[in-house]
Amino acid sequence: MKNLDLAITCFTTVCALGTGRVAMIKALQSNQSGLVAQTIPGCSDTTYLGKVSGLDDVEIPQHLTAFDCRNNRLAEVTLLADDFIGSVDQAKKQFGANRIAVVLGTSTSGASTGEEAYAQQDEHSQFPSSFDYAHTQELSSLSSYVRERLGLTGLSYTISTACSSSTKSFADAALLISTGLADAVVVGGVDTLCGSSIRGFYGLELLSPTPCCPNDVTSRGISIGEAGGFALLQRRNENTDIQLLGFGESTDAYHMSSPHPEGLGAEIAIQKALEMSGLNPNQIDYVNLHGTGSAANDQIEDKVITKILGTQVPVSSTKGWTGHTLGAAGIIDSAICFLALEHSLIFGNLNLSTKNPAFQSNIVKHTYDHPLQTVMTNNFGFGGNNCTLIFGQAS
Amino acid sequence: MTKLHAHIKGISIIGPGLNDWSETQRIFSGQETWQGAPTIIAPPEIVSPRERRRTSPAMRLALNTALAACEHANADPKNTVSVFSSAIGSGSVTERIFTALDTDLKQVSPTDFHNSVHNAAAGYWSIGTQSHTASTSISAGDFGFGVGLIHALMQVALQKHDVLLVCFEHPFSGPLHAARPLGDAMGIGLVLSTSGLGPHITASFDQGDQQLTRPNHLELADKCELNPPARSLALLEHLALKKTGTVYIPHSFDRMLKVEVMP
Repeated sequence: MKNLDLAITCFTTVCALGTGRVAMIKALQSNQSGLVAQTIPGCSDTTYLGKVSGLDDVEIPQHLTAFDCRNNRLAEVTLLADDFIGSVDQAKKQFGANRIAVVLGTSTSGASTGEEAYAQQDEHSQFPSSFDYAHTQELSSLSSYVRERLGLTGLSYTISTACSSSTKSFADAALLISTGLADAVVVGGVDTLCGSSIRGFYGLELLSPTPCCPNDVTSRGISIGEAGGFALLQRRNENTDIQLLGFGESTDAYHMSSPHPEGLGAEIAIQKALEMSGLNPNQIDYVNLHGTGSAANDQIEDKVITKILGTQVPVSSTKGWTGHTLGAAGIIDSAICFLALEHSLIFGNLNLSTKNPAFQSNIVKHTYDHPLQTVMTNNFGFGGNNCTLIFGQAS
Repeated sequence: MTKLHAHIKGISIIGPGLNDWSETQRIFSGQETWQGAPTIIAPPEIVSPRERRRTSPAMRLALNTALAACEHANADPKNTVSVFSSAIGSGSVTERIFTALDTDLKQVSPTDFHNSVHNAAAGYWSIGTQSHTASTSISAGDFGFGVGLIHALMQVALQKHDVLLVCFEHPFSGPLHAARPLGDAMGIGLVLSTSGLGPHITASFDQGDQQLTRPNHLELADKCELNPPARSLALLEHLALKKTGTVYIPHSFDRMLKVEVMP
């Protein structure tokens, strides 16, 4: 595939930085992290989480209450932010509800509802009658909810490839529009904190006891977070600002939870995205790193970036603001890239004080003004699943 | 209206009383009587013994289905893009994690945690085959076969790769089984290609109000009704009997994919 000719016509996010794009850019510009200390359930250790506040009070519309769970509540709040629903309504008038698809990423969907149901089983192992697995915990619940909520009748499905889930939704949107199966696609994803993810990463000894500081010599692990984000992709027109220029997907073929030691999968994803975009490596103006704070993973990403893009291109991890939002990381990192393009800003690497001396790439410590034409973002997930996206200013 | 095309290079099936594609062909053609015995899932040869021990029954089902489809197609997994479609992924892993979280210490096993990702089967497939090609894992509830087929056909049309589609479902065995019944375990594999001598399919969105096409083997259809991959059975019956025809497969609760089959 070449010349994607696809544009992002609107986007929105809700994460630990607040609701909507304005909250996000303000927090980014003022170096305000969304990470807060929390005791890990079942023990006395502390970690830092990027939590979204107020979800307990969110109301799901009456006709869709079967979908009520923390993850779909976050989807609901995100749909309301920045009038994303209004933008989709406009697209509906233009294309028709059956011509708009929904492809969203999540890693755990409404798992916290299943966890609660397990805790509430009676002596006969019966769940409370209100528990509705398919509409809450099942991964497809997210895309079904958003399709119903937006009144769309096109194709809808969930991609779940761990931390590259929502990143890959952009690739599927490109397939859907290029084949003519859809005129517009709602992409992005929603992932909310649950016992499984917190205790799972804790069990792998990956959770940092301090706010994460990716690429720092003192980095002690990751801080996880929750987030929702949506973007509407359609064919480019004269009013569009941001384009999807390329995507690259690959697998590591190495290990379920450790990256390939030479970063081979990451390298393939980046090279494929570059090839599709038609750009030379020196034409990338900024890279938003996967940069979770896991020292081993960050070092491999640094190695791959340096190998392909050299040591000059400014790069940073923004996980110090949002935490690693897992299945939503792709849409959150993409939204940060969109804001970078819109505001001509290269964001710093929050919480970085001393760069790991083994790292060669040009890791930006503090945010600065700089006009940008093209940006790249990487996400690498468990199961060795990788996806790279390249966005650019519409020319 | 968009029509997507592909040749079917390889087919595999593992299900209740269905141990492989050649046996299934004989059952569809009436040469053999279908017994409906519980699904047999062998240890997956494609991964090393160390990794084999870590795989869940759902992953084993997916891996065996994937390998059998590639072998039938004589396709090299290293040059084959993959899509794995399943509603629940590994139910046994989910139930073990939830059970652990329901204790005071809430200790989640690291292996269970990395196996809990929906793309775990795809990850083991990539490791076992040493393939670095793109791989997507989809959840589309009961519509996993229709949606997976669309995704695979888009990849064939645009990326010009051979594409392996694996649609699999292994039911829960613990208390979640009652909350999400899925029938007998079943896996369906197809290798799709832009070219080849195999049967040809053309797929498009249906504008009418068709229903899911059921196979003529109604006993089998009834037994597998709850299992999402079983929505491929009418298509597979056409392929087994080398029959020209049209089958309808839902891709959502209110929309159908129309698939025209040319043997």
